[in-house]
Amino acid sequence: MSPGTNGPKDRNLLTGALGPTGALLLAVALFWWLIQPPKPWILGGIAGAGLLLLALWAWLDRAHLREILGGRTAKFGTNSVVLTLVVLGLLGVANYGGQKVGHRFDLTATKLYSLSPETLSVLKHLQGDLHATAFFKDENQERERASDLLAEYAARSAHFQFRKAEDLVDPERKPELARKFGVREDGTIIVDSGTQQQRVLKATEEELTNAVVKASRTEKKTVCFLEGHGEGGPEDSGNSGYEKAAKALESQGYTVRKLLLVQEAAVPPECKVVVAAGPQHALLPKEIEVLRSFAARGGRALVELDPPSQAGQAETGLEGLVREWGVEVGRNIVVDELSRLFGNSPVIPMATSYGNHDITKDLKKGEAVMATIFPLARTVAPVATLPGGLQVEKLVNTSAQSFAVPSDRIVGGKVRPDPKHDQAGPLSLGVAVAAAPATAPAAAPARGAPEPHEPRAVVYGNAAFASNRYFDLMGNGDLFLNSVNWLAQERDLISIRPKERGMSLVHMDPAQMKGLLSLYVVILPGLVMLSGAWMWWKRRRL
Amino acid sequence: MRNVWSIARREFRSYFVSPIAYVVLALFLLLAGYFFFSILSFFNLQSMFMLRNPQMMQRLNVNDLVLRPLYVNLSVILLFLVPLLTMKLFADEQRLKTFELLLTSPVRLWEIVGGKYLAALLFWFLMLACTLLYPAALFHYGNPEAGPVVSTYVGFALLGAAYLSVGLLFSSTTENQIIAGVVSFAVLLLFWVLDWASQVAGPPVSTVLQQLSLTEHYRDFTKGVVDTQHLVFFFSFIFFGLFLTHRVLDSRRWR
Repeated sequence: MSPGTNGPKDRNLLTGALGPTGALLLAVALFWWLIQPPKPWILGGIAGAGLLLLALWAWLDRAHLREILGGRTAKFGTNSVVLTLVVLGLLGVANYGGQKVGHRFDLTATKLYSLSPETLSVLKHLQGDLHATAFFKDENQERERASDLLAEYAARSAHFQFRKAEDLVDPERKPELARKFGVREDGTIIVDSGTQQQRVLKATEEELTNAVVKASRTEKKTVCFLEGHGEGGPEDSGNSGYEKAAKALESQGYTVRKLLLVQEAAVPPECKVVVAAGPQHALLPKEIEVLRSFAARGGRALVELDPPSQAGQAETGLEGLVREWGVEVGRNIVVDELSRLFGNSPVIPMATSYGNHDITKDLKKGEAVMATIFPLARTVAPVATLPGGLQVEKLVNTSAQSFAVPSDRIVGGKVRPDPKHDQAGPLSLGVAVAAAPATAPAAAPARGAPEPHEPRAVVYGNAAFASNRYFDLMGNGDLFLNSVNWLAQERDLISIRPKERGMSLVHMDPAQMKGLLSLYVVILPGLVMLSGAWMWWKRRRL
Repeated sequence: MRNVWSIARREFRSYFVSPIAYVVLALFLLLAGYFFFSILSFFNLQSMFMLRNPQMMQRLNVNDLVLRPLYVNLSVILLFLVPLLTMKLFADEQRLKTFELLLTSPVRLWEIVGGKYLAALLFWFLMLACTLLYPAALFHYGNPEAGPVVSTYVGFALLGAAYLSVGLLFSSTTENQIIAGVVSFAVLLLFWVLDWASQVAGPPVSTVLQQLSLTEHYRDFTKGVVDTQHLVFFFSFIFFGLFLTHRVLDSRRWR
């Protein structure tokens, strides 16, 4: 009897094992290559060994193989394989269809995993493509939740792209990507429309949906930088220039241009926000008048005024204008001893506390506060009696160890606080002016309707904080961007109440715990074993 | 249908005759009970400590911090226990040569496959029913949300059913129970590894792997979400396992 025609039992066990082992090696090589390819010679070695074993098996078992491949078995075998592949294909299609057409039922009590109707509506009307990337370090506890939230968004709109495998990134593992998007903080989400990007620092539905709204806006708003009086210029890359700020604005979808008011009879209509980045010389009365009427018809202004650096220095004229808006800009320099602790000169005060305002709300994350610094600043505070219809809120405050030294007392560049007479901290370095609630429009107008003239302005007692030299420091850049965003804000930004998973506790005393332990860990399994033993004993008797 | 049921009944009964079912059930309850106990006592401790810190207390939620980790752990324990349950389903018959006898009877092959699977499934449901005691304790001592418990059980039941179909398949490929058990375990482990691999691999591969990973499809259920795409996946998986089993057994006719 020739060896090849024997049944399976007669085949040498070793020969029989060659085939599957060879196949296994090949499979391992394939798997490895797909996941994280090792060095080519390792991969090649394993694959090669697998192929070798398969070949060896085929040769040694050739008679048997011939029999299998030739006869009836082959025909039925191929049929089977084809049928299997067809079924697999159909199932694949069914699953693919299931993904597109499926329905998601959120069974949590607070609908934690469903999106609010506002978000759903925004996603439904989304037209352009948006791509989200989430930068969360591996140990960040918010990682899963943020990823789940983004996945929900992606599930609801074909235009919102987020895939956990590619777009949930650890910034430490992919630093180039983090740098490309200018990600500085752990827990940042970038929503990219291709032409502009929105940065989300807090992974809540409200922030994310608003970012979607902002990122998908097609009309560009223009921010106009006042020039001609020594202000920080948007194209100036020097230390006191505003090039970085301008670039940051452009990446958020704004158009930036310069504005020479002297040549204009009025602020051009496309300027949504006018920025006066620290004028050093006085403005002409004509220019002040143009700005006044700009604000009166609803124009938004960001005014940054540096303190006079010596006694007797003239005002720019904007001080009087903002006073009409209810803002008192002090003629002083703020000195903060706290800054010494951080290695800074005391004339570079740090903001240690913020008001409760949209502009500053994401500078506070729970207990942590993001600092901002203002090199050479003056106080900016609400006037004692506010003009009707306006409210002025403090944005940024220094510590209690600060003093406001009147400029008139500065002699020879030396600033010395007089604790007995000088105004003491905490001192306000910036305010936001808005319509008082009573006069604010009652309801948001329909999308697309012209906006009512709601006055808004932001005034800071320092321009250098957002200049090129200081823009990237701590929270400075964010403060500037938030201010412009708030000023440029449209009505279709929404507020969504966050859904918190309800607190749900257990109350058990030690006795109950012990009872539980004995019941679940001892009694239950014990009962099972006992019934097993009883069954076995019963059968033994048979 | 009647044949399916009678085969299932016979097979189910035979579970209680062999020691293996008792061992599996007891082990499962032991491990599950122990996990439940330790997770719960830690949570209980946290509940007591956090009374001083209302802000941290907000984060404590029994569904999130007790049930969810418990059922994720249990899904790993199942990896080991399911092969023990399924290894005898076909291997025994083939060893005892009663399988040929069965094939010659008027019972159709798919009825045999269906019946055996049904028996294993019923035993699995029995195990599941025993675990209901854990959420019951939580409802007694606390106030968990009911919705996520329901969805977790749906997911867990489907996951177990999927594991069973793998076990059934490999039981049909060999006479040797041990081999059936070991190979089933290896394959289930492979699927578990797929999930890890999908996190590590790059874009096109990772998406494919994520789609194939059983754990990935299970995850949403533990959160409290029932998504029809996951239901479709599990049913497809189970169907394919049973289909392949049918193919393997059918092939004995012409091998």
